[in-house]
Amino acid sequence: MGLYSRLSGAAAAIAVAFGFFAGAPAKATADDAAIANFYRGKTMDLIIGYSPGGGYDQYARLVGRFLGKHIPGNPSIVPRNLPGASSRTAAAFLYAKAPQDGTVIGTADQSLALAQVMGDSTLRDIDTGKFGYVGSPTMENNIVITWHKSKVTDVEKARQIAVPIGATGGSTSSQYPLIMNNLLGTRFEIIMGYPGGNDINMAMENGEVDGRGSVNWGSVKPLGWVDKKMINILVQVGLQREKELPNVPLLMDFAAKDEDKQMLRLISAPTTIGRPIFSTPNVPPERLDALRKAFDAMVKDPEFLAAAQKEGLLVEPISGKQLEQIVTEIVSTPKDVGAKLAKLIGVQ
Amino acid sequence: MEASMLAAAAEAFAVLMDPLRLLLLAGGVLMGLFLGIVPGIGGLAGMALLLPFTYTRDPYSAFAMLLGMAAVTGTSDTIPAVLFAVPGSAGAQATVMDGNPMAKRGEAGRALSAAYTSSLIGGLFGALILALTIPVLRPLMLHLGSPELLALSIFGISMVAILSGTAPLRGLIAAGLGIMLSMIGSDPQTGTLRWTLDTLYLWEGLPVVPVVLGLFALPELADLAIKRQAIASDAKIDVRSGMVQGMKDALNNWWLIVRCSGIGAAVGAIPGLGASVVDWIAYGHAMQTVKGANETFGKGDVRGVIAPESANNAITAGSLVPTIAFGVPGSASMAILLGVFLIHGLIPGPDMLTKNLSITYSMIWSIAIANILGAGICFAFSGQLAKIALLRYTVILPGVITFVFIGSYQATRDWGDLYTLILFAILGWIMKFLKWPRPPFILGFVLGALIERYMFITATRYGYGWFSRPIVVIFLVLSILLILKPVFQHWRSMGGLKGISANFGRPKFHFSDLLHVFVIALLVAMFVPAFAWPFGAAVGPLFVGGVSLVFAVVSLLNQIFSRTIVTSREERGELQSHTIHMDMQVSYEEMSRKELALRVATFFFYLVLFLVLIAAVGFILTIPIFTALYMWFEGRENWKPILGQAVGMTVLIYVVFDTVLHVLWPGSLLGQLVPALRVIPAV
Repeated sequence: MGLYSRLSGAAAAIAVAFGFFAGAPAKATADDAAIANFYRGKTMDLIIGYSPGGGYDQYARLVGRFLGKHIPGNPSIVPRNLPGASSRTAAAFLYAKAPQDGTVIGTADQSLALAQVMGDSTLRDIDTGKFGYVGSPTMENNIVITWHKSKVTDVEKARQIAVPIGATGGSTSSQYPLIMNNLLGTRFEIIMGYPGGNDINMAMENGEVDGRGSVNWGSVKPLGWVDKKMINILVQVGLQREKELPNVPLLMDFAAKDEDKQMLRLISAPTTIGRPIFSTPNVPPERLDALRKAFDAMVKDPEFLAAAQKEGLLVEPISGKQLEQIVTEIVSTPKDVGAKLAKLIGVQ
Repeated sequence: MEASMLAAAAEAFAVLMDPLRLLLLAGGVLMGLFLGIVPGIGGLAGMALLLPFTYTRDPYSAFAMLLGMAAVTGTSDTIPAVLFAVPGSAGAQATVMDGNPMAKRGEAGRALSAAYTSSLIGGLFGALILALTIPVLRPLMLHLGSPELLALSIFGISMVAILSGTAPLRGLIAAGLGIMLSMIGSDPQTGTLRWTLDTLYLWEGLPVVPVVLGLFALPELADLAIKRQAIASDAKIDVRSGMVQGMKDALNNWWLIVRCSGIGAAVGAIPGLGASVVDWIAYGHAMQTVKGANETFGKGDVRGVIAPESANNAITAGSLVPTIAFGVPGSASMAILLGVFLIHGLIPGPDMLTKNLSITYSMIWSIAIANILGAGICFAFSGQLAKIALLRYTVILPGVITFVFIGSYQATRDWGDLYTLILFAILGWIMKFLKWPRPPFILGFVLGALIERYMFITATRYGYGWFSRPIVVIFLVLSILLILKPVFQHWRSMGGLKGISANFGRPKFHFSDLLHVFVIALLVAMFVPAFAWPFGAAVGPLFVGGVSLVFAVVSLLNQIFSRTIVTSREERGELQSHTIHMDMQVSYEEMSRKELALRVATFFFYLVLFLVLIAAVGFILTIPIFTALYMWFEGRENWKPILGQAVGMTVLIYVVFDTVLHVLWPGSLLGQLVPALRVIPAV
C-alpha cells in the first residue's frame, strides 16, 4: 500500500476508479476489469536494448507480437530499438526515464545483475533487483567449445596443451576462459578482439583459433555441429545441465574449494535469466501481476509456440517470479565475492 | 559451372517470377530508391523499416524485398550528390566531387545518366561475380585470416595518400584524427572505456552516419545557403541530349567500370569495410589510373562519377559473400539480413551453397533484377529530377536539413547523434573552407578501428610470422608504393633539401593556422589520458596519436615557413602544380568577409534552432515550424509553398518514422509542462 499512500486528491480518486482493491483475492474480477480498463486502447512500448536482427531482438519482437493478446484490455505493443553500451542505455532508460505505470517493458543483457555485483561502474546507480520482471521466453546455457581438429577435447587436455581461443573483448567469451585459466588451471591463449561470434566461428574453421570462449547453446544447436561431431564441448555454463547435453560437465562442477564454487556459481547464474522481459521499477503490483500472468499464458499459447518454432527459437520459459528470485540471489552475493570475481575476469 | 548449379539458378529465377514476389521486389526497389535520394537515410534504415514485413513471407519473398531495397540505394543516391552536392548515402560522397561541378555547368542530365549506367553495370557485374564464385566461396574466404584482413585494411588506408591531393600532410593529419576518433569507446581488447566523457552514448564509439552527414552533407548545404542561389545558376539544362551523352560516356569507359565494380565487390566482401569508404577507394583508383586525371578530376570529369557509382552498386553482392558463406555480416545492413536468415530457419554456411542453393541464387537474381528496375526508373524520371537543380535554395534546404537531422538521429536515437552531427558539420565546413581534404578523415575513421582490432589479433596469434603470408606481402608492398609517391612529389615541389634551404625564409603566420593549433590541442588532450590505460587499450592511441601529433606540428611549421618557399619558387617559375585539391572549389569572391561571416553564422544558427525546437516541442512539431520559419525569413516564399512543404514533410516523417519505424523520440519541454499534449507524437 506504500505506493498508494503517495497518491492524493484527484489522483487517488482515479486510482479508486481503476480498482483500489489490490490484495483482496475475492475482488479478483473487479481487479481484472480495472486492469483491462487501464490497458484498453493503450499502446505499450517494448524497449529493445540492441539493434534489430540479433537474438535479444528476435525474442523480444516475438513476445511483442503475442503478449498484448493475453493482457487484459489487449493493449498494442510497439517494439522500439534503443541500442547502445551493451544495452545499458536501454536499462538506464527503463530504470529512470520511462513512465512507471506498467506501460513500458523492455529487454536487456542477462548479465546486468552480475555486472552490478562486480561493482561495474558503468551501471551507475541502477539496481537490477528493482525492475519488475515479467518473464523470459527462454533460458539456455552457454558452452565453451573447440573445433573438431583441435587437440584439446576436454578440460583435462586443456590443462596440458595450450591452444588459442577466440573471444570478443569484455564479454562472456573472454570471461569464461579467463576464469578457467585462473581456477581450473587450463592454459587457453585468449585471442581477444573478434567483432562477433560468427567471426570466431570462421576463425575456428580456418585454423586461426582452436575454439570459442562462449556461445549460446540455442544458437549452436541448429547448426548441427554436435551431431556432425564438428565441435568438442568442454563445459556448459549454467546452474543445471541442458537436457540435450547430459554428459557435458557444468563449469561449477570443477570447483576445487568452496570459495571457487561461490564464484563459479555466480558467473554461471546469468544464463538462467535468458532473454529477460522486464518493466520499470515501482509498477503498481496488480499490473505487474497481470503482465506476469499474461506472459505465463502466452508461453503456453500454441500460436506463440508455432511462431517460435518457425523462427527456430527454442522456448524454455522462466516466470517473472523466478527471474526476480534469481536476480535477487545474484545481487545479494557478498560484495567481496563479486569483487574477487571481477578481478579474476578483468572487469574494472 | 556445374549442371546442378545451373538448375538451382534456373529454379531460383522461376520462383522469383511469381507475380507477388516480383511485386514485393518492386516495392523494395521503390523504397530503396526513395531512401537513396534522401540524405542520411540509407539501406540500413531501410532494412529496419522492412524487416517486420518479412516475418510472414517465405524466404524468397523476404530476400527479394530486402535485397531489392538494398541494391538500389546506390543508384539513386547519385541524384542529391549531383544536384545538391549532398551525398544521398555514404556511398555517394565521392560522386559529389565531379558530379556536382557537372551539374553547375548545366550537365546534370549527363552526369546522372552516366551514373545510372555505371550503377547498373556495376550492380550486374557484382551479382555475376557472386554467381560465378559460389563453388569456391568458402575455400576462398577461408584464406582470409586476420592478417589478410589487416593487410587489406592497411591498403585501404594508404589510399589516403592519393585522396589528400595537394595537401599530403594535412591529409595524413586528417586521417590520423579520424583513426583517433574511431578509437573512442569500449576497446576490443580490455574493454577500457576510452574518451567516453563519462557518457553511455560514446560507449560504442561515434556512429558513422552523423559523422558522414556532418562532414559531407551539411557543409555543402551551408555553402548553398551562403551563396544564396540555385544549384545550377544558368537555366540551360538540356536533359535529353545529356542523357544520351552520359550513357555513351559510361559505355566508353567500360573497363574502368569493370575495375571499379571489382573493387566494390571486394570491399563489400571484407567485413567492416563498406559503403562509406568504397566510393573513395574507387575514386582514388580512378585518379591514379585514368589518363589526365590530375588535370580534370574534381572539375567535372565524368569518369569521376563513373568510378564511385559502379563501385557502390557492386558492394551489395560483395557484402553477401561472408554473410552467406559464414554468417559474418559484410556490413551493418547485412547484420539485419542475418536476422532474416534466422527467422526463416536458414543457417548461413555450407548449407546455403548446397542444400539451399536456390535461395542463394534467388538473392543474386533479386540484386540483378533490382538494379535493372532501379536504373530504369531513375532514367525515366531524371528529366524531372534534374530540374530540381534550378530551384531556389530556400525551397530545397528545409526539407534536406530535416532529413539530415532525422537520418542522424536514426544512428542510436540519442541526443548525442544530433550533437555529433552539428560538431562535425562545423569541423567539415572549416576543413572545406581552409582546403583540408575531408576524404582521408573518413578513411581513417572507418579503417582505423579495423586496423587496431586485426593488428591485435594478428600480433597475439601469429607473432611476427604473419609477414610472410603471400596476400599480406602483396598488399603491404602496394600500400608502401601508394604512400611514398605523393610524399616524394611534395618533397620535389619544395625543391628537395636544396630548395628548402635556399628559400627558407621568415615565418609567416596566418589566421587559418588556428585549425592546426586546434587539432594539436585536441590530439594532446586525447594523448595524455591514454597513458593511464592498460597496454592493450593504450598502445593504439599512443602510437597513432603520437605520429599524428608529429605530422601536425611538422605541418604547422611547414605551413608557417614554406609559405615563403612555395611563393618564391612559383615566382621564379620553378613550380607548376599538377595535383588537384581534393574538394569542391567554392569561391566566395562576390561577398565581403563580413557578409560571409554573417551568412555562415546565420546557417549554423538555423541548425542550432532546429535542436532548440526539438527540445522545446519535440521532433515532429519542429518540422513544420522550422520549415515555415526558414522559408519565410530566408526566402520570403509565398504561404502556399510554405504550407505545402511544411505539411508534406511533417506527414511523411510522421508516417515513416513514427507509425512504421516506431522511433523512440526524445521527450520535449512542452510534454513535461503540459502532459496532456503528449498525445501529439514526439512531444
